[in-house]
Amino acid sequence: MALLQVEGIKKSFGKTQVLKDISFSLEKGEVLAIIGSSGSGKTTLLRCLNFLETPNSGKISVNNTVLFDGDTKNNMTDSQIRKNRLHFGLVFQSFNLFPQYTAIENVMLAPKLHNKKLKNGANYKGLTKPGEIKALIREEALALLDKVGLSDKIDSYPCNLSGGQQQRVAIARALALNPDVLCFDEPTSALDPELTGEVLNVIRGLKSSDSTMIVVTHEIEFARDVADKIIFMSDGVIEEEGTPEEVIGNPRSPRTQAFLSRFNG
Amino acid sequence: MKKIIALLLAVTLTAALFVGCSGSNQASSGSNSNAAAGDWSYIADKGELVIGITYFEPMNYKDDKGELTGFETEFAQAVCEKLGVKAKFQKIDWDSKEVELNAKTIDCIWNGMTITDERKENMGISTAYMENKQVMVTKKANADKYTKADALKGATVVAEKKSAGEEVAKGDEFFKQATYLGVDSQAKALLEVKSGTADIAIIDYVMSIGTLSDGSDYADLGVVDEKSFSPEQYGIAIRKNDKETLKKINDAIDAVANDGTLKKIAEKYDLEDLLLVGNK
Amino acid sequence: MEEFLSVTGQLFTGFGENCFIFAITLLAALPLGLVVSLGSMSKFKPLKWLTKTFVWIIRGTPLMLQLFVVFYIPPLASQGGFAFDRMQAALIAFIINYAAYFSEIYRGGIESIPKGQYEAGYVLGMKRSQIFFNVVLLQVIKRITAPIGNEIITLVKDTSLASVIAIPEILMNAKDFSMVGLIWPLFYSALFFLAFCGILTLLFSFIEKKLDFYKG
Repeated sequence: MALLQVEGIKKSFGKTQVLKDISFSLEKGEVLAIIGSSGSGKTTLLRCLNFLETPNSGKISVNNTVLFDGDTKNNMTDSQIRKNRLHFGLVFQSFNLFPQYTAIENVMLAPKLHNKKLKNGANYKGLTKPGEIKALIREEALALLDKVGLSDKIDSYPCNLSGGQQQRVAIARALALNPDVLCFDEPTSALDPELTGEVLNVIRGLKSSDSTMIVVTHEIEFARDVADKIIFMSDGVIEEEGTPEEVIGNPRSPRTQAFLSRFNG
Repeated sequence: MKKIIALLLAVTLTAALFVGCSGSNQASSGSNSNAAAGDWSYIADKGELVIGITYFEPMNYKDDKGELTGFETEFAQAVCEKLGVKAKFQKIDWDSKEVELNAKTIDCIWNGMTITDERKENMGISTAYMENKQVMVTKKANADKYTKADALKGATVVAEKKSAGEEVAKGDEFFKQATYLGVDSQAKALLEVKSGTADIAIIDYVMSIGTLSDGSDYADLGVVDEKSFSPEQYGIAIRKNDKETLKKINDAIDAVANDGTLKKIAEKYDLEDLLLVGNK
Repeated sequence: MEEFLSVTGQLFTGFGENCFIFAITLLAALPLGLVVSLGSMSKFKPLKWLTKTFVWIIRGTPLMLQLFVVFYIPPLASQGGFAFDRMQAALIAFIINYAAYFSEIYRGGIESIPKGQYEAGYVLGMKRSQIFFNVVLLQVIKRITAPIGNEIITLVKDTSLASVIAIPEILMNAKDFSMVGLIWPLFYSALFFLAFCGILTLLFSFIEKKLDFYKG
């Protein structure tokens, strides 16, 4: 059974239907790349998975647990939604780092808040003493920043980091909560071309450590290179789906062909 | 004044909104012309007469020790003693004196107030107890210059708006050729002359006693002795139509005038020549 | 010299009233303004409409008139039955007036924080309150420090308006001296305001410097 199961997601803003019946699934350790022109609904789909938007209908399950069901969506409490979000991580196009915190503080903030007042015998990886928990969280944050190649920038504020460095901090921040699925929303679109490489390399590195990822991207070569599975979205539907060889190498749909020809042209 | 009251009423709803005051259902009675009947008992019940004043030497002012004193202060205390109530002095903004009276935040105005027709319309006015006149104040250096009307050509004359001084400046033949400017207080009028932005101020004679003395900043200003205008009278103002309180106060004035108390107070401030009541 | 000391003493007494109004107004209006700003950003339409109207009325009328309304309308309307004392009335008017102005500054500050900051907090599983206190608040404070400082310095000088309901504040005391022939106290009183505003300016540039550790 798949790690992530998405069934029949529909979403409209007013009269505009942005997602028209989206279904797909993802195995653990798989990397899914979603491509398509702007306005095709890619970003909205990611926002639905992260519960920043509420789908009108459909179902989202992780590890065979239904997180979202369009039929009962009005019964979800705030704390349920927060819990659901923890299954996913999201890296934004515009980084959205917290400007008043250093790189390491950005990474540590959420774990610290989640483990501030542990009640009823709850523990953080076996620890219960606040001091020890804090030390462990810091240790983990250091490891994550090292993983994204920023061990020398841990005490820098975002305003003193380049775009690529900021995006790498944002990735470390998302990883700090160990999400089941890590989502990237056009992670290199706001970067100068010479800075995209460092971010893409970090994502490549994550693939080799078996993270499950969904990457919305315009970097077709990168998608072909890193993805196990590619979805081409157009007009709110999945136009074509398959391996990189199938979708990018031999596109069947005329729309996919037209889209890809713009990149190869 | 009526305009101001109307304006205030216009925003009463607002007031009710944010003050949360309970009395807004009676808001339409703002002009308060029917204070009438119960007013003396209102004052007597409180046991004190709240007297609206401004600081104005020699009428009501703080002495060197910071104690309130002055002719009107002592006069009011003497009258209140006869009335059997405590005199409580409340400093007010002179521009708001009618509103203060109607709002019952004060019970009377007792501050060298000139009796005018307009004030008689709006308030109850006591027996006139003291005489006053308007005098011209100018730089001492110019004192001889402004004795004839012709000399005033091109000169600027200032006086407090709505005051007896303004009436003189606008109405008297003597000032026909001068330019008139109204300012918001007599002190401001003096400041205009002192600073040279105006040539002549028309102020109360009584005011000039206190302000133009040697050693004050106005020592270089002087009264043009040859000229004085429109003899007028001081009275006490209370709420309109309150006949009972008016009679009580008038009787008390007579009493302190006839037993010599008033004369003694007046002598203390060098004002005895101006008294209009009692045996001179 | 003796005159100078006695004038200084009296002006100080008056300035005490200004400082009192200043302090109480700040203490009450800063938090009240936050409540009002939350109202004006509310999704509940009637509340939003009501607070917006309130802010419009308060900002759209002179503070001097508001002082008149608070002090004179209750006794005029109740025939002398109810009145605030003068200082109470002044405080009510000042607090309400400044809360309205502060609320607009808060609203501007809060609404200027990019949506992405909230969303970054949401996807990290934070609660609304955690996002507000740990992510948004300091950024808002940094953004509003300058306009709030500006407003606070205006407040110092506005306290003089209390003289229209006969609160014996410094300018009124200074004017009284002109009734006994002394003009200079009026101009001397400016020093009190200058000194006070000078201290506040220093304080605010200190705060701004403290908040300058990051940009954005």
